[in-house]
Amino acid sequence: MSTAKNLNLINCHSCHLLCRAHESGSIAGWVCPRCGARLHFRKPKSVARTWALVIAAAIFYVPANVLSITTIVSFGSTQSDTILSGVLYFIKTGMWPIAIIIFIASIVVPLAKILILSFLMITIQRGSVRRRKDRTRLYRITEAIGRWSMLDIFVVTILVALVHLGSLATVKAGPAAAFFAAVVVITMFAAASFDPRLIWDAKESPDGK
Amino acid sequence: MIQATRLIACHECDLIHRLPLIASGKSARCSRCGALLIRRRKNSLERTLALALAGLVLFFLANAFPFLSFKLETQIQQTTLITGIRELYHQDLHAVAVLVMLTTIVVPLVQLTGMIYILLPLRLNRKVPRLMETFRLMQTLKPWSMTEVFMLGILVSIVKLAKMAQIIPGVALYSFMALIFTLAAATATLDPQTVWEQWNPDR
Amino acid sequence: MENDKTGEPDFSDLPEAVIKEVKTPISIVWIVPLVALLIGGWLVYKALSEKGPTITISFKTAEGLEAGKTKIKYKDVDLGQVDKIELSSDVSRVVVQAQLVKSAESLLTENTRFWVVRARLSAGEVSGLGTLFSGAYIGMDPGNPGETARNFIGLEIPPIVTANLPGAHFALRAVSLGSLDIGSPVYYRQIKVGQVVGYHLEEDGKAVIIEIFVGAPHHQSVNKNTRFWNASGLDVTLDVNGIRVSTESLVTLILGGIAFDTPTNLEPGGPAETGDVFLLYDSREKISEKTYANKFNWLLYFDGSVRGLSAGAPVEFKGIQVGKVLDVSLELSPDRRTCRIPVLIETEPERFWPAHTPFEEAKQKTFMINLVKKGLRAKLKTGNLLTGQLLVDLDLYPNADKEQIDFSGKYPKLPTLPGPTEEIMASLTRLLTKLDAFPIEAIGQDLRDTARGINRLVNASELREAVITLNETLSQAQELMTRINTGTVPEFNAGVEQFNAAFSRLNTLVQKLNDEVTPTISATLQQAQGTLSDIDSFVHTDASLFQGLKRALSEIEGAARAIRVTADYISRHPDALIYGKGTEK
Repeated sequence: MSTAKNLNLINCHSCHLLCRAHESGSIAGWVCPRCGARLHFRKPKSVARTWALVIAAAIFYVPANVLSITTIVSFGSTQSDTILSGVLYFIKTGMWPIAIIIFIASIVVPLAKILILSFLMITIQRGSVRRRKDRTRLYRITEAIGRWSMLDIFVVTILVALVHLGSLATVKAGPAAAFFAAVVVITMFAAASFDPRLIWDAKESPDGK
Repeated sequence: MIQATRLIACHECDLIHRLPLIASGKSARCSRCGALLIRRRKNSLERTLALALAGLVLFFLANAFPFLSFKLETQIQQTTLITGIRELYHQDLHAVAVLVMLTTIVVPLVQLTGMIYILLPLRLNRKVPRLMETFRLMQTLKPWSMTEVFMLGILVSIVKLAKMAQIIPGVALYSFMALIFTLAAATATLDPQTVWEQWNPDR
Repeated sequence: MENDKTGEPDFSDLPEAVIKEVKTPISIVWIVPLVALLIGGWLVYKALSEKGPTITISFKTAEGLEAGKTKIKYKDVDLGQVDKIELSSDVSRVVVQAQLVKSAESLLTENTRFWVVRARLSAGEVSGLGTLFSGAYIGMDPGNPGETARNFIGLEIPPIVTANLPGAHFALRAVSLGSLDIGSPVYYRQIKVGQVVGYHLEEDGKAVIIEIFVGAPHHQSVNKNTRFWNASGLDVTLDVNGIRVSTESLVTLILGGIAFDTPTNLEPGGPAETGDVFLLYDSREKISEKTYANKFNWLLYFDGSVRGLSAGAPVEFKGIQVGKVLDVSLELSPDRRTCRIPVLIETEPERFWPAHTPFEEAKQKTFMINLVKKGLRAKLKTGNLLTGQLLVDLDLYPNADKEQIDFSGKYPKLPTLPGPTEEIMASLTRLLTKLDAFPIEAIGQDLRDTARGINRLVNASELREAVITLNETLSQAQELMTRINTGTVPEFNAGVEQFNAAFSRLNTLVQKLNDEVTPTISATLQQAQGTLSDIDSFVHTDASLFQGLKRALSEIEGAARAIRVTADYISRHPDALIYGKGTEK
């Protein structure tokens, strides 16, 4: 199996032009002749960056779910909801599909992203060669579903905009919204900084390293 | 023009493949990891351009007219796309407001204008400054255009509020829905290969 | 995959196809932006063409107004909305920029007036939850046609909207505004026929002038003698006559209102004209009261308790109210060491002026002197059994002692008679003193001595003597019992008989009362009831007779107990008969 790296070729990530890498000189500063994008064999400091971002996302995940994301003020009575209590509310009122959608988008997806990326990086760092195709597929899924976690943020935006009727009913966004937004953004960056080619870099060697 | 036999490395597993000419409408995938390497589109430039223009018109409509109205008894709250963002900003959630603004308004606009900026000159064989940078920027920002997620968010909100009050959709809502489809179609129809191929780097 | 070189068969003898420059046709996809453009353009055009005029209104304050929310209404129809609220350039006023609908363009003239209707219940209508929360809105009145204008100065007080409507305006004079407000409805036979359009204080600040508007054709029902009254809320009166609850309608309950009617016992007096001033009565009942301007104050002195008499209590003459009590106070007279209660009353002498004689103030005095000569006296009477309220009753008592009106002092003093309550109290007091003199103490003393004697007897030394004495004691005890039976009980009976006597005396007293005073039969029964209940209370609670009886019985109980104890002791310690209880010998 000949990869570009083995043959000292660099695949431009932006225009997919295969370029020959110079024998000498550092890789920094190389640009693709066709599109001008920066060239690198692998995404720079991929593992370190991704770990940092994943850990940050995990830290923010806690307040995002613990703090209240919406507060409804109606006739003087306040009702604060966290993401989870919102899901429970939908279940209680019989709106199952919505509950499932929000649950998946707001709770499952960010958690899954964090866990999957962690898993992928652990397997890379351990040099595992098992089921690489599936792992790549896993990465593809992670990258694709990432943006859908923004669902709850948009719902809050719309509620805040619509339900603005003074003392009759007003919705205020809670601090969890900021944390949740942070989680989504960070996980998206984490997925972007992860280089899936690293999965395939691990050599099948008898050493097992 | 590019030679018939080309080489490409899979961007996900780095395996090198030989690439034949791929007819429009066909795609090439990596043999090892299954990633999508190339996909050719029919008439990419023209279609994308048309869709991008339509998208721009729809974008304008989506922002100029009322989006959704929320009616409880006699109290009506009319909103536009920006109302929610402004409200979030008022409630001191500046970061979230900026994020929502980026993902629903700024990035789609950049996508649309970027497309037009690139494709029109290409079509008319003119040169414009920083074409490649613009294109690269568009590609980078692609995952940040979240209008479809916003649509789902609207749906969820409507279902949640429908019990309490009357939701009246405005012109902007329909425009926005059309915009989502148009933008998705434009992004899909845009074939980067065509752009690379058409672009003549003689600076 | 390698690209196979396509093997080309030899088609060289075929004509060559003409290569033409295929003009890339305009792809069908261009329909999409075209359609989008068309729809968009049409929408924009529609929006612009339907755009109504933009106006500015300046107010003193923007209180209650909200940009993007506050509506402009005329006849309760939304005609526009406030877009922006800014301060004027000299910061003295607030400039409100509003967008009106296109159809309102024709209504905007220089005479159009705008004012703020601040957050409150929409008067006259309770039209759903929304109005309660609709907050302030800007009311609009197109006014008379004139030149078109776009900039207006808003009014601070809502004007009389009814300038153009057919009908008539009237003014009502009231002591206070009460729960009325601009917009409060005016009812005629419980139909809303008009509303309050304004109010202001009179110059001297003693009354409020309420301007009302009554729409056609009902304004013709307003005559010179029509009475207006305040029909607001719930009327609950608790007075001498009992409890009464009345209300005009649910709306007045919340919003207040005025009702009018022409009393049947009055001449209509011709239709009223715009601007006529009427008096606003406090309630429906008050309109049928004849109000008299003349009031005359009298001072009455009472000796007994005036419990139940309060300011405002009626003064009646033969059951018809002729005035009311103004004040009740206490006067201690140091030299006589008594106190009496002066009661200030106010009468409207016109009420019991002889009919068909014009009232003259000068003749008033002589008239009253004559009445007093005939026996006019004031008495306190129970007005309401429920509340125990008293009233002052004026009546003629031909048999009363000769008295005169004392004209010295600030107020003339009318002679009074003690009320029937006082008489009952007096005789009861006498009865009770008699009962008090009952020899209960003596009986008690006797019993105690007897008990002591028994004790001494029981503690004697010799057995036989003791036994005999025991017998004797027992027999004596028996005797005692019989004595109690025969002695005390008859006395008790005697007491009861005296009681009966008192009762019969009371009866005769009541009879006397019956004869003396001549009220209606119901009043008599009332009095008897009152009497009995009073007696009831007196007898049941603090009659000393009862206390005395109780004491006597407890003494007897004590004596019997002592006997029992002693007998008990003897039965257990028979040697006590011999050796005594302990110490003595």
